[in-house]
Amino acid sequence: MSLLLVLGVIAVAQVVFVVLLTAFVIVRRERFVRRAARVSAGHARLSAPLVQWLVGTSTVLRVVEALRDLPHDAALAFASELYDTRVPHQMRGSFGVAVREEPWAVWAIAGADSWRWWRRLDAARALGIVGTLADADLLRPLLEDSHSAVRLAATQALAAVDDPGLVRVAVLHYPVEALAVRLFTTNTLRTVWRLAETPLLTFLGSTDSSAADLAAWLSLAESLNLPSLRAAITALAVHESPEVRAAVARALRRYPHAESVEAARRMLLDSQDFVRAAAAQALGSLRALDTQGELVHGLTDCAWWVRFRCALSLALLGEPGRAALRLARQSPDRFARDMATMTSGLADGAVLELADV
Amino acid sequence: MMHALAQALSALDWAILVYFVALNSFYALLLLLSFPELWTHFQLADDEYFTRVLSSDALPPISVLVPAYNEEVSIAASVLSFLTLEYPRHEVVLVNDGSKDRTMETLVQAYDLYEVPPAIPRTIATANVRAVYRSRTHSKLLVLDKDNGGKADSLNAAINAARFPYVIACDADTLIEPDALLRLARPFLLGRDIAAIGGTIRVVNACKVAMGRVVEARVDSRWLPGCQTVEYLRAFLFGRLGWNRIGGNLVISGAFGLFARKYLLAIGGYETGNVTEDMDLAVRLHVYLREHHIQASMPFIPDPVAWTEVPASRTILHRQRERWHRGLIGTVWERRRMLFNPRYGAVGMVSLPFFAFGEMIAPLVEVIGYLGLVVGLMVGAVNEQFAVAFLAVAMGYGILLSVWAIVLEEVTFRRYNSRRDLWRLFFFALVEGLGYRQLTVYYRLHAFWKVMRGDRGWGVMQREGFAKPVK
Repeated sequence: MSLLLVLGVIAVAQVVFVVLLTAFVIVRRERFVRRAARVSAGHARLSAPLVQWLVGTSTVLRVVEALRDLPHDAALAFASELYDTRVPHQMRGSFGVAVREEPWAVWAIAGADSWRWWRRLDAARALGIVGTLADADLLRPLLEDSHSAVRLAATQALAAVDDPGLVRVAVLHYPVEALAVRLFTTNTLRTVWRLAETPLLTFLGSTDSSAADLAAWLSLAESLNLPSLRAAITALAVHESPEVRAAVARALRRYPHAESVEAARRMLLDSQDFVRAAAAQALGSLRALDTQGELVHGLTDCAWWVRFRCALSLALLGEPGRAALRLARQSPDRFARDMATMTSGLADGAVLELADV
Repeated sequence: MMHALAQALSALDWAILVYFVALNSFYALLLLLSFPELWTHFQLADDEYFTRVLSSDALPPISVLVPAYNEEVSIAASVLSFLTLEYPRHEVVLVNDGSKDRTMETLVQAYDLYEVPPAIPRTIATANVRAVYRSRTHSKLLVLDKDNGGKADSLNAAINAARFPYVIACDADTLIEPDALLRLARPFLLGRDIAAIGGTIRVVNACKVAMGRVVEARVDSRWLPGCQTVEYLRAFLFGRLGWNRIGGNLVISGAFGLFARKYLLAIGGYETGNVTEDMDLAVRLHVYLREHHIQASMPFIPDPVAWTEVPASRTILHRQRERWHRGLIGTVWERRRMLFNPRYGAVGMVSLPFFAFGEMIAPLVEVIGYLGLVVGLMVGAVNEQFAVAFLAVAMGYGILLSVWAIVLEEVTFRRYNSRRDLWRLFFFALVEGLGYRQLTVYYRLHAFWKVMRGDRGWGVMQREGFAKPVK
């Protein structure tokens, strides 16, 4: 075959491709418009029964029927959104039971062992709505899925499934999870905190855990804010890893107690600047008025962030702290003077935002 | 003599054919690699459930860095659009780079600024910072007023002043979609260690804009902006996504890119002497990560969008493309030791060689090809039918790639809602190869001439402004 012929064949193939692709775009656009109209009409049909059910003048069955008219994926997406944003906690159980055998829910759950991650994501999402204790075995592999988005959706199902073993798995895996999965795990664990308390106490007290793991569990403890965890957190204030000590200082912000203040006060003398900065921040969050002297002294710290956190914490202490800041504007130390001048010019709202209490 | 010339032209034809096949095969490979990437991102971007997660406070705080020079007309609105971005925690660090107009006065008035001591670390050396301001009305805003030092210098000053671990570099005249920061932060949620993330830049020229937001995406009917709309789709929807899979994304757009501040500080921030600071920065980041054995990635994700105005006149387009190519030449030349160096992984073995031998010298090869073709036809060394067929295939290939980009846009993000705009995209995909392509080849060739002359200037980039407010 000559080169000319080859080029001719390629040119013809190109023309065919361009025509096919153009036709594909046109057909797809038309299909999209029709589907969007169908979904939009379905949403409109759902509106009245949904409101009536939410205010108690109708049963959930009319909502379920309206959802049935939507394409499976649209029904799942809409049900998921309803469940998260509009259905009150006390009505979620009845909603889950009502839709459990709906075709779209069955279709979604059937994808739990699919090789396509987005099908597993749908399954995890569906379990978040319709899951029960009987689904624990189905949920476990999704909690340990290779795709973060699937794990993230699976964590939400923890509350529905309410299984102590799965909660322990979630707490155990917490340190290695992506940020969002951690957040979702935290939110879910707040609702099943009774199941989370024991494993978290065990992990915080274990001596063979790595510093990174401990820091992650400390951040979980900070978010859960369970009084029973305070002693375990404070005990780690003298841990050899500065990463753990900083995590302790951050966690103590949520545990107002004399021992928390004492621990943060000690950490203000830490050798690592980021631990000192976190400790200064904690003292401000705890409104520890009797540590004003230490915070004023912190304005002369060699690290900018420590000076900054001390200044913000002083501003958080109310008028005595503000007065100390005004006084520090005349300080012989140039860095203390500059920091005090900068923060004393901030409005209360700005202090709160910058201090991140 | 004529026989020798004919032989030389024949050899040239073959060389150009091989170059053409190799280059376009690589583009085809990028296209194929972009499919799974695009599908993954589309699944997540389109997922309302995941979008709700993105609105949570799990995301790391971000500092938005905005260098401004002589922007008095638009600066107040621009800053407001940055302050009102949908993101749980962000601050805006604006740097007035010694503007000669009333940019600073406008800011002071609009945001009730007051001067504070310049208590910011000076990790990267920059031009003198004259004053630092905070706003009484917007605690998220920090303004630095400094001596003129250029965009890179301003960004460096902003990096010094930034409080948060991630920074996003934006142009003051770029419109960022309200949810773009949330979308840009998605890789953080998927647990990757991130050094930088690039987002998509789209053409704003004919779009309807209200309150600093694009409210209706449109395709410009004019030739130059229209062709650039298709060009941007092609570059972002499959070019950069394809590079994600190879692991050698070399361009994080300077107008819209997110960076881990610690890595920027480690490499000394932006290079002030480079005319395309974004590519230079991405290459230096890659080098730093490789040399320090850091496994952080630099992905591009397609759904966060920033809108920018593209040149509508040939003069401005000439300056822009010539400058871009000059920057490419400078970066490749400075990093020539990385070429085919396995120590730098995919960047040394694939990306940089592609940019050197595919992108950088492509205009030279194309012009030599045109000249060889003309001379060959004149002396009868080239078969006319072959020449026509070759040109048709070359153009057809360009059209096919552009149409693929439109298909990818249509099956995923579908920003252009009207059918008229869809047809316009197809039209510009068809005509882009007739004139526009040759024009940009000429501009890029001019860059070689300027490099030889040692020209390092930017040239003036005049803007038309966002002239289509919604009533």
